[in-house]
Amino acid sequence: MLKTILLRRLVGGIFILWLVSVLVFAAIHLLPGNAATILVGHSDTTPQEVASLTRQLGLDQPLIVQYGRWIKGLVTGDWGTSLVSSLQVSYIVRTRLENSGALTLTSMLMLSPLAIIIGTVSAIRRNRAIDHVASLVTLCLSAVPAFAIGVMVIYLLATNVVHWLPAASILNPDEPVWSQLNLVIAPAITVALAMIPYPIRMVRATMIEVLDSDYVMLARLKGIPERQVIFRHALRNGLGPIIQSLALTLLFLSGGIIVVETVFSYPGVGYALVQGVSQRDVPVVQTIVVLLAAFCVVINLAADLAVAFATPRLRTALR
Amino acid sequence: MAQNVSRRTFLAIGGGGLSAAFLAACAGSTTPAASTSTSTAAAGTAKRGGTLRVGSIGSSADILDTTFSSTDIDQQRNQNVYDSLKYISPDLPYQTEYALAESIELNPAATVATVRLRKGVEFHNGKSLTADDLIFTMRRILDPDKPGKAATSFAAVDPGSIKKLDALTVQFNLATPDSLFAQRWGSASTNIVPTDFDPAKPVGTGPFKVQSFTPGSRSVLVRNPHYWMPGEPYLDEVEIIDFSDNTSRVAALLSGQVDAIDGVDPSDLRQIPSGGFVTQITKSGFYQPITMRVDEAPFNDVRVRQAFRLMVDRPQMIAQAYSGYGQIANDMPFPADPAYPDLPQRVQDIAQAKSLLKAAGHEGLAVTFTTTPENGGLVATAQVFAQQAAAAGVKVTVNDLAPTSYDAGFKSWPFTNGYWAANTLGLGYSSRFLKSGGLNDSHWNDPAGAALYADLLKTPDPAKQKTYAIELFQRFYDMGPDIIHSFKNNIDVYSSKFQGFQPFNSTGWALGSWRYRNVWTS
Repeated sequence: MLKTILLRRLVGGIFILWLVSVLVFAAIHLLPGNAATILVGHSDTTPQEVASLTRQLGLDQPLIVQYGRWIKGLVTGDWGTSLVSSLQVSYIVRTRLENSGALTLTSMLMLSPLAIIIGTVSAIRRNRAIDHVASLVTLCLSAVPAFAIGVMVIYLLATNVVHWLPAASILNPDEPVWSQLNLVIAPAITVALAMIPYPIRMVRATMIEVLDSDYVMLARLKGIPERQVIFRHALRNGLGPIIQSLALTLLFLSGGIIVVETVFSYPGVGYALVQGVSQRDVPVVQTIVVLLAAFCVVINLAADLAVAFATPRLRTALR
Repeated sequence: MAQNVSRRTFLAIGGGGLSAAFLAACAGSTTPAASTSTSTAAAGTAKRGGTLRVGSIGSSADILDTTFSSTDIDQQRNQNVYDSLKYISPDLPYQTEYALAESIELNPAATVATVRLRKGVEFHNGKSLTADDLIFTMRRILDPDKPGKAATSFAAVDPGSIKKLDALTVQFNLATPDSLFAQRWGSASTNIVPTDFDPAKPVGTGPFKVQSFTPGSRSVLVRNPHYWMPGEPYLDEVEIIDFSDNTSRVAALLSGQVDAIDGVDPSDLRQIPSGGFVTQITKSGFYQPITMRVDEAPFNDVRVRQAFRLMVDRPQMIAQAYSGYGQIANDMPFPADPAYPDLPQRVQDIAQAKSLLKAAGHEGLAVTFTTTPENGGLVATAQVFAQQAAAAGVKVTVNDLAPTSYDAGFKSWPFTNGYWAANTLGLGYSSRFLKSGGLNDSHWNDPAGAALYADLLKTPDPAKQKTYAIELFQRFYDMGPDIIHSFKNNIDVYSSKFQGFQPFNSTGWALGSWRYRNVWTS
């Protein structure tokens, strides 16, 4: 049972990735200009030099050949070379992924406990002062775009009010990201603030439903202390939907990270993607987009499995 | 106003400069301009040591292979790792001083150039500079399969007949006369590389050696203790950190992560506090002309071009597009050229503009102005011009393209604006104003002008060169393809802990042409 589900999801996932790769390839080729025109720019070059560069980069081949060559490389592990910098795409992506991974992890570590706490407290004290304040704050945060939150964080914590954090996350490429965590904090705070409204609302809704359920009422009637009711009965049962909402948050995060990385000059995959598109660096853009899509597919699957394991009813159904 | 990393060869052909004297510090010869330039003034109080961190706009297209330098950040990096035969002097008028060359002499016909190299110069790996390195460099620049960025500048050189006269002397034979050969040196694309040059582990003769280089991220350069200029450099280390966003760059300066930023937008100046930072303004001939394509209607009619020039309110343009950081210009480029004439200043004259348009049969003209935010002020210029042109009954539609899209159609736009280096007429004319010029975005085709230019290249006599240049300037003034309303200033901001930066008014290059060998910290 479990095996069939996994297999079906895997096949579906691969199909989705293939579709994404075709769409991205088409999209980037619809844009005017290519890497050769970028590299040449307005230099004083002859048309022959531009043609020669175009040939060198393999951009004169028919599109289907270029796509075929790239996808063959992708599955065999040769992710090609950046058109702009002649670095290996696998090298670029590996370092950028590490950095983005650190940022994602730090943001999720910041926002998950906070979302659960605030959501639960709002549910317990619903319609009272603390619930209204939390509502207002989350509404404001969700209305402000991520880059504006970033700019405010920089203004407040780095440049104008206090100087606690660095303003630009210019990581030293020769050292691992874990040794430069002070450069990760400001963007992580930004991402967390930008993403937290959704999970707070979800946790609150879930907890309200759970706290209104029969078994909680029974537990209260039995005289179980409120703290035990909340932790042992309510939260445990609310765990399924809470995990799902956190997983969805993680998915949104992988997209929202692009904007925040750019604001902080943080060398992650999002930043590399933005630069890659503006430089028409096809191998880099393709690879990063497919990797992000793969990440989404995997997270979806993992979340569904986690929910299933957390819900006894589904756990038995899986067997 | 994202300063995208453009591959414009800022210096294009004109990377070199006019001839001048030795560096006073080295040769002790009488050189009027040299006393104000480079290190002599600073040497007395300068102190050893320190690290300078510079935040510049860069991308993964960064390179250390100096022959192919094209972006500003490549210029910055490679001017510190390598040297050229000459240096460009920071002051006006535009001239060059000898660097790796001791002398460059031309025969009266300007067809043979003899270069004597300086003695005792070492590359970072200990190898001595010899004639072989110069020959290798020139052949590398002129390689037909992979030409360097200076290839069009040295198009007159015949690569097959370069002669080594002795260990330090090279004779170049020029297929066509080129009286400006000695002035074409100075930009990063003319830097000298050794015969065993390996782009993966580059060495030059410059004041700093490469410690590490990650394109798109940062370059770390360390002091060259055997640099041929006595006493320099003072700094122990220079870090050039890449940014692709101006806002992030300014924030990094304010939070102390970098010490200097180059090419700052005037709108960002408001954020800089009054204490702790120095704002350096460079006034040069850097220009952002409004360029009209002259090979098709309506701009093939000189009356229309004249009318358009009369529509511009120049002071208003400077105030709006450059926030006041500019000087009024007179439709002629290259103000650093000694021959730049003092012709009657053009001012806005809507009535005359209207009558010229009427005479040309183009009343009520409608044009599309294609622009891009590739350089600060371009889009604002287009918008202001659209307003000013409306008074003359001309409808201007501004088409703002992303830099990549703009570059893809470069030289095809009928009405556009661009940004070009400060230069001399001799060095800057061929790329934009000869019919075959690689940067000829106006499709300018002026046989009489080309003939004058060819004559200029034949005479090594500066006085005669000047007479030809004056005529060419007059042609720009009367019928040129550009509306050159002003010259834009360059703004740099750096921490007051550092000294030795000076405005580079000759080329307009930022942070004193990134000449970090002159910089020290207290």
